[in-house]
Amino acid sequence: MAEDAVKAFFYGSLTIEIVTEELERFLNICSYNDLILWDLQAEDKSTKFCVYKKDFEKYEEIGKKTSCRLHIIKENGWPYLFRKIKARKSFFFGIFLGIFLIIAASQCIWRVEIYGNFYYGEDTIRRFLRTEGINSPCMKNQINCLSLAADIRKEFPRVVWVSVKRKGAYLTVELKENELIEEKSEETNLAAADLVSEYNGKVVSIVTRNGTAQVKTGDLCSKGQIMISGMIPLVNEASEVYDYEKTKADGDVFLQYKIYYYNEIPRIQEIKVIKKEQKSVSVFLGHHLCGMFPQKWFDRSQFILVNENTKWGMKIHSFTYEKEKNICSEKEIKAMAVEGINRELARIRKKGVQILKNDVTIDINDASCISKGTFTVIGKAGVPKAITAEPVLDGKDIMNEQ
Amino acid sequence: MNYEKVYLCYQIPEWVCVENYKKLLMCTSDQIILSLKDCRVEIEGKHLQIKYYSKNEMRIEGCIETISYHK
Repeated sequence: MAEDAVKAFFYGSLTIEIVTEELERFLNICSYNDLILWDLQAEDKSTKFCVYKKDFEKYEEIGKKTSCRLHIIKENGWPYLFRKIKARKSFFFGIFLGIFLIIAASQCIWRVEIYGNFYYGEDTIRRFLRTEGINSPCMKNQINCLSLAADIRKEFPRVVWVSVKRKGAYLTVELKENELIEEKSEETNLAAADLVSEYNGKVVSIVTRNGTAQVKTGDLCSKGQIMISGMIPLVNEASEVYDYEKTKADGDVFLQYKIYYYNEIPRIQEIKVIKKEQKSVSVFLGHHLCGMFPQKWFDRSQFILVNENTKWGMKIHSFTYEKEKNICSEKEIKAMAVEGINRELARIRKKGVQILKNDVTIDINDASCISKGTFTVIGKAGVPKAITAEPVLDGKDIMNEQ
Repeated sequence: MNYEKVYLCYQIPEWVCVENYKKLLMCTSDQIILSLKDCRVEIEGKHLQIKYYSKNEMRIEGCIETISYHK
């Protein structure tokens, strides 16, 4: 039965409706002529059945003999389907192209995922994979997971276990690094250091995590002064210092200090006057692609990013201009000075510094506009400085004498 | 025409298969009568359908109730 269905599909079949009172005679003549039919369904006045496309002419002849009328109800199978496909070429071409693209795309690795790396950065591993010819996208058959895993272990000595596997369009690289080596190396890298101030200011708060605090809240602190010492004194029962333990000082020290600001803006400004404006051209390039071209190409162009999320749509607004000297009014120059101060404040805030006071004054004269003054801020201070001087061991001498 | 042995196999009430039949005498959705070499077979039921019909073989499907032979 399945064979017949396949045969009917490839040769083409017709569903015929016949209206006759001599159905039995019609069927017997068909049988006598060695014709095959199937799915015969006799109803009150008509009968429906299926025949092969190639036999239809013979049925018509028999129909004439037995005075029956044959109506084609439905056309099935490949020959009719092919006719429909020919009529809708573009649609089916699109389907086949889509299938082809899916198959072609499924032959590639589109994404490389790296897990379990702590010591080695993802960029480092990706750079190594690129040297091995594994980029996204790359062909799946180019990747030999076993040899790649061996190469990773060879290249990165800290990696003790590696698994490279292909999962669909993803290449997953799982690593396990030797944590013991890392801990040891951290210990060796840990050098004894003091925490020194990089500003002149007043200590607002101090929290010591490691080391000995040398300043307290409210103390004035000068640049380069030790705030937390890396020398921890060891005392004996008589509360005498007999030795020092060197450590890396650590803690949070917040200082109130001043940041000096000076900005001079000349009143005569050069402005670009657009002489001839050309048409805007939309170019769909990623900005990293634009970065490949020399900067001078874009000197007289303005880029407008169309979509900031995708960063792909880009419009080039091209124009020619001439530079002209313009004397700014007091209002304009003051606005520029205020803008400069605000920009500086924003830059300071970005560092995570709290601004307490703004003492910047704007002085406008005939030649320029000078903004100068200080910002009083509270911010985290302290940079590590290696301990070079050896401590005086008075306590140890005492112990030796005893 | 040389008629060979007639084979009639069935699975009631689903289908009946007849080989080497002689002639179709009647065909409706309730009754199909076939002429064999030396007898007549009446197949009665509901929604009868000739699933396959060729010179030597016929398969009838539907809700078959009775199959009777008449000399």
